[in-house]
Amino acid sequence: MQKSKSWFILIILLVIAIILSFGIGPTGFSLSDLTIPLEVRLPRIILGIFAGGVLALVGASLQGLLQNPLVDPYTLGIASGASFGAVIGYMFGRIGVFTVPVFSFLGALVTMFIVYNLALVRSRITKVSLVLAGVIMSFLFSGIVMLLMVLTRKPLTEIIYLLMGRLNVVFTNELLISFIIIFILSAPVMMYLFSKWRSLNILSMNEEVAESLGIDTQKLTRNIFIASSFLIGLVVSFTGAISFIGLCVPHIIRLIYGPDHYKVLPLSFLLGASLLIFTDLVARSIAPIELPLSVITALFGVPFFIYLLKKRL
Amino acid sequence: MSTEIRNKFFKCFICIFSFWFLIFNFSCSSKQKSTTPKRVISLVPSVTEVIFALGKESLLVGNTIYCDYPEAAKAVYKVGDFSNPSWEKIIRKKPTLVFATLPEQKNTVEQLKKYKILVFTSKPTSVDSLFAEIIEIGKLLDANDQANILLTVLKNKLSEIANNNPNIIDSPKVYIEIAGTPIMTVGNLSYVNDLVRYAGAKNVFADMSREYFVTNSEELIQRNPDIIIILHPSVTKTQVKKRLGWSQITAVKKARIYTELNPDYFFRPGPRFIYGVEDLSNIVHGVWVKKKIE
Amino acid sequence: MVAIEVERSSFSYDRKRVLENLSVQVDAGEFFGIIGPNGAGKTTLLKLIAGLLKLSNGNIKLFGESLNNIPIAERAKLLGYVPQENFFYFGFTVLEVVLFGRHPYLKQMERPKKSDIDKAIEALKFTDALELKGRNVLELSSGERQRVVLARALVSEPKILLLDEPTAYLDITHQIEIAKILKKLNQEGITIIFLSHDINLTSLLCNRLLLLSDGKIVACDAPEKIISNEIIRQVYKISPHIVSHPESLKPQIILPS
Repeated sequence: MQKSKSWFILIILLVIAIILSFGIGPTGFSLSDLTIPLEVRLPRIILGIFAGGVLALVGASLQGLLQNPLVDPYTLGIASGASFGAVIGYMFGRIGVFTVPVFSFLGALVTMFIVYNLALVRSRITKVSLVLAGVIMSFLFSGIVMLLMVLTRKPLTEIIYLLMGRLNVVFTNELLISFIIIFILSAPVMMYLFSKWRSLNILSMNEEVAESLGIDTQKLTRNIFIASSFLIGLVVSFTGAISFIGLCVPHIIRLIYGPDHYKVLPLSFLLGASLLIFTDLVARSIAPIELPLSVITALFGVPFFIYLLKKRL
Repeated sequence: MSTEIRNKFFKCFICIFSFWFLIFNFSCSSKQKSTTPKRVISLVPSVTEVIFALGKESLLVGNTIYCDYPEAAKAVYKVGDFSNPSWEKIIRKKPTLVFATLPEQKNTVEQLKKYKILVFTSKPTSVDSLFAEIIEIGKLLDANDQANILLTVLKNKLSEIANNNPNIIDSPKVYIEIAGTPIMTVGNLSYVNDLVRYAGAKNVFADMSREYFVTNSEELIQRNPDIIIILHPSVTKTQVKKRLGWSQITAVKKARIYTELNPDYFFRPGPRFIYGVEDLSNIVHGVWVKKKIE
Repeated sequence: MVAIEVERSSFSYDRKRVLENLSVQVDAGEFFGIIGPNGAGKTTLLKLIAGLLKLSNGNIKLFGESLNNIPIAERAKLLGYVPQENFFYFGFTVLEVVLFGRHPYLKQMERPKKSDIDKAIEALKFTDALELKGRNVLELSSGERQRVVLARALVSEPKILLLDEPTAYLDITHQIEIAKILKKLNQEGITIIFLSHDINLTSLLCNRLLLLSDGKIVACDAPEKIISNEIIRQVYKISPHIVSHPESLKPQIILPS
């Protein structure tokens, strides 16, 4: 498919998603009074763009880096560390809207550090060691979170919902401004991932060939890992772990537009953002109850995977 | 064997069999007609409070670590926590009656039934069902009189509250927030919903046939409550006011946001619910004065 | 001019010593073969020259410059490396794969320019693989894939080509094809290091052979001098018949029955 056409379609898709999400809601829409759409729906949309886009971008990067179709942004353990941080913040932190996000992000950073060092074998990182380290940490933190849930005096239901993915974060002014600043500050990190498109392409051949062409694979692996963990840590701190976007969207993009990361990375970002906003619309449709996002993304994701299996076979 | 000996043997056998049969029946019926179970374990903090209110705490041989009211309840032997009480500790105390709740303690209840220990499951979904439970508990603990007295006291208090705070024509709309991340509230299948009614107000989500659920800002803004009650510790009043879009809500405009209520009065369906109703009623009628939380 | 100089170099994987105090020189424009039994250290030596492994001791110089001092991007322009097994995870087209070889010449966000594409087409022409250019790499046969990979190595305009068993999985037709292409390249001045188990082919193609065994040099000389009964028997522990090739007169081994 022509390059310009692909960008065009996906940008239009995102714009439609934004417009729909901006206009649809229980309080309706009127041009004379835009307070609700601006104050309540717009932050949600911005969060959705950031979360959906980053999840898909990181998913695509990691799938390319590790040459593994089953890798998603959470394989390397970051989300479980963020959940752990969130639960700690919820249980022991100061009262406030910033508590859970801050603790969550710290949890993600700590996990990144541990996973990286765990994966070092003779001061080298291999794809297998990285995934193993991530999986180990996921198990460890899930276990700890479960332990905390059993020991806590606070109602369990809140913790359970805390860990599910959601976009219905209730923003205060300060939280929203902090979030937007974070979004802007993380742009260079996202640009870094975008810029590695050719290295990711080449890495899909032997690692040795990539090295012989001048790519420092150890440095690349480490940097992509750090960039991904940082971005995922930020997302999960606000939204919890939303599943399937990071796993499915890159595959969808590759199926339609081919494996060239020059396209796959940015187009995944766009599709991830649109998809998440559409999913959120569905989640809001059974008003006033909010369905957990991961449930809906799973409903999309499962038939898609069946299709993928059939096609590959 | 000769017929004589066989006959004798047969008679003996019938005697022994009848003897055990009678004993067995006697003890069975004595179980059914049992008056006071001697050893009671309470796995539910609200039921512990009821037991103490009925004056039958001497029968209590075990409770959970969350059973902290009244003060004496803390001294009772702890069999574990609320979601996963220790089976070993329960059995060690040889209970004849255990109070549990569903669905959280489903596993424990099944175990108890397997071991044929008498289980009473407590799950009041309204004030009336709470009253009915108090009567039941009274029967089980041979405290019928005390149960009736307790009920009278509570009902009188309810009337008193209703009299002190005469009904407002349009019941004010109340939003009960039970969690902050994400925001969760209660529907009409929740016990808390009933308390709101007794306090003379209306839960903004009373149309929802759910116990509790997750919702979002826009839904709440649309329902525009007059009063906001926060029953969890994760936000302050100021932060609630600052929530984007909430400035449109009447409760925020009139600064009728309350974070100081004791969640135990609302989440524990026991005798202290009356304080919850009282506080809520005072808030609703604008006569509430911030008390020190005990 | 000396293209490659290996000075007293050793290498160990953990505690296992793979190469022992090796010294060898390759002149520019040579067609240099490396042969030896399995586990002799051939591939390791090739990877060390390519800079893919770090020496335990010693030094390797390319065109007089120590390998450690050559920045990785410059080294990529100097060397073309073709490993024994070429595997692809994503289904890129042949042209895209060959264009990967232009990576050392492209800046970070730069897409291949027309000049890069022209060079890629030329490389494909050279390796007789032009008709494959739109095909998916995952769908190629091993012969076709080998030519594509060779084109990829060529397109980075290397001065030295390092080939690890380039004909290992090929039938005779394709072996001859590749051999012809390599001969052509060598005639254009590219230094070729050719690793193979095929003693006969190396004998035909190479100016000099390096015979390795157990990480040490057994001999380094013209094929005629190396492919002799004593040496083959010493290293490979078999006694073949050695004949002269009817056309080129280079020594050829015939296996004992």
